[in-house]
Amino acid sequence: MTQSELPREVQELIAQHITSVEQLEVLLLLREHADREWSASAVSEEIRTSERSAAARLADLRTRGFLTSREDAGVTLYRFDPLTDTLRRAVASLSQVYRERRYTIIDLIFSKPIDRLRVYADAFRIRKDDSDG
Amino acid sequence: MAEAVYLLCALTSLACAALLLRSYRRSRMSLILWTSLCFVGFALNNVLLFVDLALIGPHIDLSVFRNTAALAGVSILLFGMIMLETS
Amino acid sequence: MNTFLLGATTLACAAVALFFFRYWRRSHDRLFAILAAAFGLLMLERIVLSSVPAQLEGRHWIYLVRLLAFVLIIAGVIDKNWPRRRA
Repeated sequence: MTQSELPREVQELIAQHITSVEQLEVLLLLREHADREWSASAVSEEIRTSERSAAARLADLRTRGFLTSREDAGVTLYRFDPLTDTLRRAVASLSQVYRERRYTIIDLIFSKPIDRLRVYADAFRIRKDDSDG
Repeated sequence: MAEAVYLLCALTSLACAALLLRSYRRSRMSLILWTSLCFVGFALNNVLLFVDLALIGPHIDLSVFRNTAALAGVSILLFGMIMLETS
Repeated sequence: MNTFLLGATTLACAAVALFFFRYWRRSHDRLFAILAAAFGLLMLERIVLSSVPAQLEGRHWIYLVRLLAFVLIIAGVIDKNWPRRRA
């Protein structure tokens, strides 16, 4: 299956919302465990990233309408609860394709023009900062 | 004063070229390599400008060489940008 | 020959500046806006350089425009490396 044979909703979801593989991993993790709430530190342990990066991904996914959040004793807790059913179906479809065709999806994410520009702009960074961007 | 300007421009170009070359080794994105080479061209242009106007007298004129270095540098970058567009 | 080289470089700088402008519009990354401005300045510098006589006194003041362009690039790189506040 090539990129153009991916379900249309998956292609659109990636084009509009997915900015990195890490962000995708966060989204799919919360979808898989939609019954529980996640803090940034719990997510960072699960997908092996920095807590700061996980917090940024979670806040971004909430802004995009995939997650809801609430404050609890100073900690922000997130839950997978998409704004629309269309969004929910698209993520379900993406989740399935990602399991079967992981590399096709990763290629698609990296072939986005906006992602190339981010890589290019980050080339002007002196330190390698894995927790941002 | 003018000499300092040429040297500073040369140093800036070299620093940018080095920074980008290092990034290229990590990311392997071709446009980063082209940008780096563009700054190498600018660095050469500015170093030659310094040599031409500050070190050697008016009897030798390097202007064709330094202008060629700048043109080569910026052309490489433009080429890279167009390649990225069509890839 | 030099006028030809300066002219070609001017056009290439203009094209590169437009590319950076478009990158900025697409990504909203300030670095690209700064690079677009820097290449715009380099283009202007070449236009002025090729339209004043070679023996003009104070010709090196024109190179201050080039210095400004390179200072802009340094500022852009520093800005890119500055720790940013979290959203």
